[in-house]
Amino acid sequence: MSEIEEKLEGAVYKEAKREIKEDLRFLAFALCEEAYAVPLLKVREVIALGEITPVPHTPPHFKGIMNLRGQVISVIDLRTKFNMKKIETGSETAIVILDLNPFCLGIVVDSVDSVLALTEDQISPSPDIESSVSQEYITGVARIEKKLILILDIEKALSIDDLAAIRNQNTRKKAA
Amino acid sequence: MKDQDIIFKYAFIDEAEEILSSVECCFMALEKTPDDQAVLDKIFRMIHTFKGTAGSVGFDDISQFTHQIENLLVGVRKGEHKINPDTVCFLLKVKDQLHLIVKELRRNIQQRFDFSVLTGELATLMESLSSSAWVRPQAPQAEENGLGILSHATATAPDGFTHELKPTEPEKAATAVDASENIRVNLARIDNLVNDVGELLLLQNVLYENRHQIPSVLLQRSVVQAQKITRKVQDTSMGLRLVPIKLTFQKMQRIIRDVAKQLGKEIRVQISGEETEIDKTILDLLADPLLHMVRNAVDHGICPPAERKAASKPEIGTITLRSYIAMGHNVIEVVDDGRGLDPQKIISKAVRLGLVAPGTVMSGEDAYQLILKPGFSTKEEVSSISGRGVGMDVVKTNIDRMKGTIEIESKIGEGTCFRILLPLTLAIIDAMIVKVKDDCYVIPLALISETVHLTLANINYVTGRGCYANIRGETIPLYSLAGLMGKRPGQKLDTPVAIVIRSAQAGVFALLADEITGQQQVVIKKLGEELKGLPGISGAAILGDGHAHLIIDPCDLMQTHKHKGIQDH
Repeated sequence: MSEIEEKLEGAVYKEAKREIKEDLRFLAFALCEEAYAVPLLKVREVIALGEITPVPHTPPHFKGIMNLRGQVISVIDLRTKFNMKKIETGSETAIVILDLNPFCLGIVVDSVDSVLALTEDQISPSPDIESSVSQEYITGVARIEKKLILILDIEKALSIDDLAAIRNQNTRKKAA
Repeated sequence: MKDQDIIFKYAFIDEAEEILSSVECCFMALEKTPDDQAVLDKIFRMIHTFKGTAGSVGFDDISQFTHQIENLLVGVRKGEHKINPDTVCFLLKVKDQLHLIVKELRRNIQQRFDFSVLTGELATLMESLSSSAWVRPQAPQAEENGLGILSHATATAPDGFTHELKPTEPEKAATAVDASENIRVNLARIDNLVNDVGELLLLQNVLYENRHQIPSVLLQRSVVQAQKITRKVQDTSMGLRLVPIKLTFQKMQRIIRDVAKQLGKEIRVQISGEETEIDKTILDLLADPLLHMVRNAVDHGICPPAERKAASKPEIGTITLRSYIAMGHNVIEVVDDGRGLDPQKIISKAVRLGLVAPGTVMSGEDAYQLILKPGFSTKEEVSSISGRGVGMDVVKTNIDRMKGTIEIESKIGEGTCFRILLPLTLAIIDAMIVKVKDDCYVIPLALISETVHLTLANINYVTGRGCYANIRGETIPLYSLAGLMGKRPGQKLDTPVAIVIRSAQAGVFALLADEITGQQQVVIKKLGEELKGLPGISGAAILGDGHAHLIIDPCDLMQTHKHKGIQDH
């Protein structure tokens, strides 16, 4: 049955699926001087920090909405989400646009560092290390030239429950 | 299974859905005029295509079953069977079953189906038909072929049918041409196009407004030319989302028929304006309200034949479904010639339900609107068709969601007309841009009653109740837009602007803003899934500054605010 199902996914998805399994390329970026990475295939594009319109009655890490060539995209600040200290917006501050079906979200990062092509043995399961990010959001750790890069489970970090919290917060929040 | 096969199978499912919905109205036409050869031929062609395609893509079970239906129709065509109400009921049932099967297939293409129950029913039906209207002695042979030796029948059938189909060939060609004029396009693609064209239009507007800065006359002229073409492209692209209301009306026709049968009423359905085109998303939202409206019309509106006769009306009731475009609105009407609404009855019922205070005096129109309240039903007993008081509430909710309004006209003893008015398109609206501190908000112009510059003398503060504005002697609750948008109100301005909203749902109120910066057409952009259900925000729009701004739904904003206010106390 599983074989049939796989075929049913259609030719389009098959290609993408295989790649996801094998693709070990990541986009590395910095959040508050710590190095993080997300799977490259989830990244749609990287853009400069533009004008963001705040949306009322949303949690603090929800920065607002922005215009991405005609599409309105929500932008989330992971630094606030992870309770990191605030860093001034600099020339390297960027927004990474992620395609997380059905969501399309932007995350603010302090800088985009590189595209990493890793091999499986370069990634070790998440050890007990000190980071600002709770362990459950980290799928693994890559060690490159003595530098540690935490691989984020970005879906979990921006989980749907979390996004639903935006809604719940609305009902709880007192009207101003 | 090969990918190719799967693609073909899905193509069949698409086609099957189309065929099934068009064959449905043919069945119903057949009920009215059982001898109409043209309708019969049309049904025959469709069933034949259905069978053929099903077989060719490997749905043998479906193909074999349809073959038996075809056999029944062969008999009818030859004049061996007569179409009677039972036959039509059976055919409609078959259609419903096939529809379910197709739906199921879309979910799981491997699914196989058991047709034994339907086949059994078909056999009984054929038998009853043959005993009443059998003419030729050799005919039972054919019947046995259809039911018994399936594989053989399927194998030999095509030759026989191609021969039979020949006389109607020219007509078939005509329908083929009709079909080729349409192509299926994924709705998401159209939405993308509409979005992009919206952007193009914005850019083009900037070019057009600043064209005098261009030194070259040729370029200036090109900009003017491009402006015209962009408008045209916009019109065309907006039109892509439009589909005729025909199919929805056909579905309603079927529902009216079924419900009427169930209640032992006879109802004629009149349809006009079925070619009126409506935005696909609106049409989808419209299906539920219409369903409740026609059910109500059949159940509450039209009286049983005896009662109608006593009132010296024709025994057969009439329900008219009408659609047209007027005054910038899509209008859809459901009209019945039934007993009409009695405002007094409605009011007394509403009093009993505690919806209005006893002794309330209201106009007929206001009273009619009461039936749209949740929990309201004038019917004493609850039936499976209506009476639970849920239906009209759904109508109201869905229509509100489409930013539409519903009007009810009625005359006791003569009938009722439910009229839905919908905005022509949801994608582009006229809007007012207001500024509060440094933020711009977009408010749909259609919702704004007026804007008034206030002086501080016009604003009164009542402790515990908030602010009121005095506008030409009328006292209107005033809310700070900044406050509603979760901001701290800034310093008081000398002449703030009050945006007055008069709505049916949230009453009369005014929003206080710093200034009005403009009025323009905006393209409504949907917010992401993550922001769905945010109260008071209906979307975003990209304004001339290139940034995304929030579109406010003042009524919703107001109601959420009030709701929260109650919770707080």
